[in-house]
Amino acid sequence: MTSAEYARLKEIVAGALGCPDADRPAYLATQCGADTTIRVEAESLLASVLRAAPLYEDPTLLIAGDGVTLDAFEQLGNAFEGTARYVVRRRIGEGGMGIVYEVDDRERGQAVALKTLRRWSGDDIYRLKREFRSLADVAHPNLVSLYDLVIDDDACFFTMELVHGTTFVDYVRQEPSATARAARAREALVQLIEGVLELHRRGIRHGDIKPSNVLVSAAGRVVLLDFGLATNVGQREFINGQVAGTPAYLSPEQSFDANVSTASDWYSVGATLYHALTGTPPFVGTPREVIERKMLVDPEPAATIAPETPDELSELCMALLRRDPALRLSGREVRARVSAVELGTVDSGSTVSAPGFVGRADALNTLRAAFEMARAGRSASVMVHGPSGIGKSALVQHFIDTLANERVLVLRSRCHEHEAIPYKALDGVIDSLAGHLRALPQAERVALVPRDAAALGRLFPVLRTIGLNEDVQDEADPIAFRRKAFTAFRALLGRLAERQPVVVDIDDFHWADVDSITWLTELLRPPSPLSLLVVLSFRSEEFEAKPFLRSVVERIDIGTRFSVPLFPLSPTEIDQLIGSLLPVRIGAASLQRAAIAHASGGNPFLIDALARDAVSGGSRGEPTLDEMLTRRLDVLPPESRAFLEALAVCGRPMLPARVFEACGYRGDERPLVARLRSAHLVRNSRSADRVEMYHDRVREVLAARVAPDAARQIHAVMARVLVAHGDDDPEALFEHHRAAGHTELAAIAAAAAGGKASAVLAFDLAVTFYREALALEQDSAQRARRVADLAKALEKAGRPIEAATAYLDAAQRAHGDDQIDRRRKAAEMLLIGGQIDEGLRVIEEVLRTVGVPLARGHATALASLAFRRLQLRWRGFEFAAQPESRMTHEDLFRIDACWSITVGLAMVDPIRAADFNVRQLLSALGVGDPYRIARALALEGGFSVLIPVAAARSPRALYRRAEELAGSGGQHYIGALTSVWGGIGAFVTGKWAEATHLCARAVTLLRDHCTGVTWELNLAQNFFLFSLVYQGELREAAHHWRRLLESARERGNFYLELELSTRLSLIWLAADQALEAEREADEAVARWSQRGFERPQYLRLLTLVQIRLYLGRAREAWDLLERHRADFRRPLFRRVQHTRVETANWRARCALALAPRGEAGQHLRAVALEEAQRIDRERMPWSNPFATLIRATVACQQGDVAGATKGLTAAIEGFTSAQMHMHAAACRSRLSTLVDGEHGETLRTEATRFMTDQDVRNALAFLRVLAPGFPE
Amino acid sequence: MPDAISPSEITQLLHAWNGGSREAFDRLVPLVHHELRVLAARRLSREWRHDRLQITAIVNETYLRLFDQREVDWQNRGHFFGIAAQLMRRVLLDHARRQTRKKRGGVAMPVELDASIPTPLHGADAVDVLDLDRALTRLEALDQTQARIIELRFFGGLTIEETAMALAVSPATIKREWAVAKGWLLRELSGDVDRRAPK
Repeated sequence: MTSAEYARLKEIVAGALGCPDADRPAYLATQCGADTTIRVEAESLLASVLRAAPLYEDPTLLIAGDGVTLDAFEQLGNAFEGTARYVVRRRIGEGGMGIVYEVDDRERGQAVALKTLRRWSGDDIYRLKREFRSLADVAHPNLVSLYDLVIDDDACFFTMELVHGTTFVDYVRQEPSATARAARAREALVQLIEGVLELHRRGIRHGDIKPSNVLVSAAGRVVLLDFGLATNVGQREFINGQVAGTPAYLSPEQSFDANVSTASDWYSVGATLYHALTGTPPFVGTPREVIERKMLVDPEPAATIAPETPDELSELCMALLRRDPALRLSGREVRARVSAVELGTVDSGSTVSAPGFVGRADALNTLRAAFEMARAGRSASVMVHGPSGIGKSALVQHFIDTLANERVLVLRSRCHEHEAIPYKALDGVIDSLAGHLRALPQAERVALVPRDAAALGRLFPVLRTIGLNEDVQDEADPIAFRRKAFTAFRALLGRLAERQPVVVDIDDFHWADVDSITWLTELLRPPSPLSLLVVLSFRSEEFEAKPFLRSVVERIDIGTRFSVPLFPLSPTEIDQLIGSLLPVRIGAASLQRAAIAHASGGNPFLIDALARDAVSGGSRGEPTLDEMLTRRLDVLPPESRAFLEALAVCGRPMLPARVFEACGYRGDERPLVARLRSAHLVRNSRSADRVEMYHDRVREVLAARVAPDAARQIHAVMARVLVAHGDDDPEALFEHHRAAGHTELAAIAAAAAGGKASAVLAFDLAVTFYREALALEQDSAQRARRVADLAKALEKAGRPIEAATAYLDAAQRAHGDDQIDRRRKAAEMLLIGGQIDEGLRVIEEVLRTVGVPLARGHATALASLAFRRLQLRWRGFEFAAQPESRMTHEDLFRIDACWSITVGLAMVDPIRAADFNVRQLLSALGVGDPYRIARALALEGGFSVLIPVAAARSPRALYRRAEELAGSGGQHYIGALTSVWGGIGAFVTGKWAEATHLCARAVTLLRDHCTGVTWELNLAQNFFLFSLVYQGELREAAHHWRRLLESARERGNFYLELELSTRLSLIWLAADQALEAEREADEAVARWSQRGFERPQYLRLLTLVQIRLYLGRAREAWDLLERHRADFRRPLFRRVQHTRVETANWRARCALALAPRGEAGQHLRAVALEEAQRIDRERMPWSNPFATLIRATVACQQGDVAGATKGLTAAIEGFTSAQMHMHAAACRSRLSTLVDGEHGETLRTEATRFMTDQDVRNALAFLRVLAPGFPE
Repeated sequence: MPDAISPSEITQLLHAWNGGSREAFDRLVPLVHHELRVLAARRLSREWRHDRLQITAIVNETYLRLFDQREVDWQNRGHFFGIAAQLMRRVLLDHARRQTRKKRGGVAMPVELDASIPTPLHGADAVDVLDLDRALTRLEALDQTQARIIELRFFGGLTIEETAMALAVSPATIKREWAVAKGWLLRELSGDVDRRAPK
């Protein structure tokens, strides 16, 4: 076709269009004549023009964005045909997002609305899910309830409450009279505002409020629809509704995406109100005209268009429609303005506002300061504490609200008394972490997820939904697994904290569990604490009542600690709070206000409760919380009351549907929950879709109201419902079964819960459950199994004495080999735990059954050791490896029994231990078991340094051989053993730095890869600390020491407690706490079962000597030592070089401290010199300077200043090269008094600085311990 | 680059162009083109995920961004939308062509011509923007005015009155031409195989 032909064609068609329909064929025939080509063309074009006539009148070219895949369009073309659960009744409407149907929900047994969605990308779906979940727990009467989101291969839809109603505008305009319209508008507006405020409170912007999204039910309930879902922030303006329709209700800034905020929603509320009042939206015209005009001009005031509109409504409307979002009314202002005109028309549940927040400026400042520290890259913790109801949660909530405008990641948990899930204090934190990650785009998430994250996914299944579920290599060792998981957790938080400040908030921390606390502490442990702010809130009354909790909280040594105690509100604050709660008309009754203020005692929770009581016409007197709640409950419908009571009895967050079902109701629980929620009786739990009592105080009062029988009944039904749905954990089932009196079922559930806790390595929790199971179990075979489980869990939890008791119990319930083996384990636990006598008694019995004698005295043991070492030297280390199946049970048992003794006695009686170790080494070589040989070799390496009698091999060769033999299975453990014993060897030879290094390595290996290694860890940690103290690193040692000491006490680890409280008493003294040091040492030794003068008594003696010297009571120190001189000659002490140096050194120091000037002191100085000679004989780099110091002191006392100066200078040199910096500092300090001028000053300054840096409080007294005998 | 020029300067360019300055036009076109591309790219990029995007909103936004509204009169607006519609069409085509290269076959970029029909972007009512462009190019060969009208209305979002102003003809004429043009377009796009087959 040419353009001329087209021009002709167009003329014909235009002409035909001008004719009446009937005349067109004739007209065409005339115009085209015989030209059939043009006639066909004209007819076709005319038909098309007629068809197109109604189309494109307001052309809007739409294109699909990249976020929508082409497949999605295909998908959408297919109508939803229903599923087994959802049966389609009819189509209600459709839009760009999809089609809305009314369906029968078979499971719910009611009609619901179902909205189909376009298929989106994976990221979108995660975002949608997250958004859906955050909205699904919104139970607000003015927001549509969301039910289920279904995303699978066939369908993509969600369901929600089906609302029958008219639109906001129609509802108002149905009224013929202007007055009635205004009344309706106000009444509906109040509710609309409540709904919008609730959304905003949850950080959701609706973005598309318009008349068709605001429905009013026949009963006058306003329901806001279509919020939040399926849109991305800032994208709202391109969603179908607006694109296709008119942008009449959108704020000007939404056309630009510029600074879209909650203010935009208020504009839309204004536009909707405007339409309802005037009958027309604020602007009309083509979309573009509307967009432009609303930016350039203000709409005509509503009162101008509809003159009968009350002024205050018109003004409110115009204030909402201000073009500049900053000048528009804010949510609070809107409510205040509306409340001023319209209070009292809604039901009493909502006349009390959400509790306002008053006062607490100091607390908020502290929180802010702590937050700023975290933001600056440091770690900080805030302990918020106060009595129940004082407003701890409200304070933290308020603080977190103030962070709303900053890029902060807030992770929150709340602990529950009746919830016993593993890591319960962290559960919510992990949930919110998962939510945060899920919302991130895939690429970002991948970049954040650390190595070994899959291990974390194993412990916390919720994390598997974000792709942490790739196959994890099955770790044989659960501890290594837990370590991996923790490391991943730490790395993940660390990466997040690099991106933005992270706040971890744990509420009701007094119900926290030990395992969570351990993790939490580890997160912020130096040397590289994460930059986090950790906020822990706990009740002061629980804190006071539970010493354990107190010790735990004190142990949480998280960065810089802040304490925020909360006290009752001041009278002004009380008044303010009451004012914010009560409507004006009630608030006017000042008498009542005074009564509330008085009765509340300044407790915000009580004020809130009393205000509610006052609104519902409560008593005039001073009611108790109990009375008030009773009154409020009495007016509730029976089903609400039943629901509340069941929830209170359960005492933990519950799925509302389950509670509803347990109460015997069917159907939709949401309206009920929404009512209770708005009445501040329940609230949504932080764990996803559950609800809990509004406040723990409410729960306590309510639970107490329920008669014991009724409570039992509730638990019984609850258990049945949970089992029927198969949706609850053994921990929960246990609670219900036990409370219901179903002992058998409870025992089974407890055992299952114990197993589950063990599996996720929460051993302390496992112990608790096994104990519960034991208390309930009747069947003897089951009981035997539980006792064995309990013993193992106790051992793994590092509680040796309790484990020993359990093993002994288990042994009594077993026979044959099992019995003997359990007794052996019990003996080992007793020895490790420090119950030496008892341990030896048990092990002797065990040994008798396998024919191994136990050497009585130390001398005998020493002879035996020497003999066996020679035997070993003669024999060599060759052996023929055998598989374990070929070895006899007796052989293995004999070796293991020797091992138990070796381990148990290693530190308290090293000679006998060394003897047994060589015995087991010989047996293991004979049997040909590489692992047991390796284990014994590693220890022999250490013993050969400690007790060198007849020891030939260099320890290094032994360690190397041990590591070669370890094989892949035991490499970490054997590696740890050689490190520990290498470390001990280094320690006794004065190589402190090497000892520190090796022991630290051992600690890491043991913690990361080994389980049930209490003894090994004890050794490694002890010698790590000892070496630090010798190096003068008191400050660092003190840091680790406090934590270890607490944990040793808590776990009944007597051995560790003894070592820490005696050997490290220098730490006490540095802190100037001599009395505490003495009490501690006494207590630790008193717990020890061994009597006589054994190692424990020796350690205590040395501690007392140091304390006496510190206090300047040299005579007592000297007497103490002299009384035990004979004991020191026993092989136990004589045979260990370190002990020899130690005893000589302390005796010399006491002598010098006591020696008077002149002739009278000569005898004591001679004693000191004699001991110095003894020390000389040892010829160790670390012991030599001690002798030098003693001689220098003698010189000084004899007035030989030159000799003393020379000696001290040499001692400083010796100590410095032996890395004993605290001793060197002590010598410097002493020397400084002997030399004059600048040199003396320098020495003094250096010494003082060193001691101050190491937190030495009283340098003068401290010097009396390290370098006594100088003039002060 | 565009950033350096203030809205009121751009408005001056528009006035100058309207007064017949070829130089002003030459300076203005790259500015507008750039702005359209930036906005469209942002809207079409992954971070701006959405289901559908109104083309004229981009044009409109460009207009509001570039010019100082207080100084633009309605005639100048018409001129602006005249070139903007042309440029917008070019931007979309470039995008669609890139899409085609990526996708190899299938619909490169479905568009919908009338949002008042609540049919989603699929099936008979969805049009490939490349097809739309080809149809318009054919129409240009037959009737330049009608092609301009379509371009202005679809790609520029102009009303009948504004189109009349931009093309300096009476609204009645525009209305008549528009009616036939959209009939022609509908026929071209509604899958009449004979006509769409390349000659």
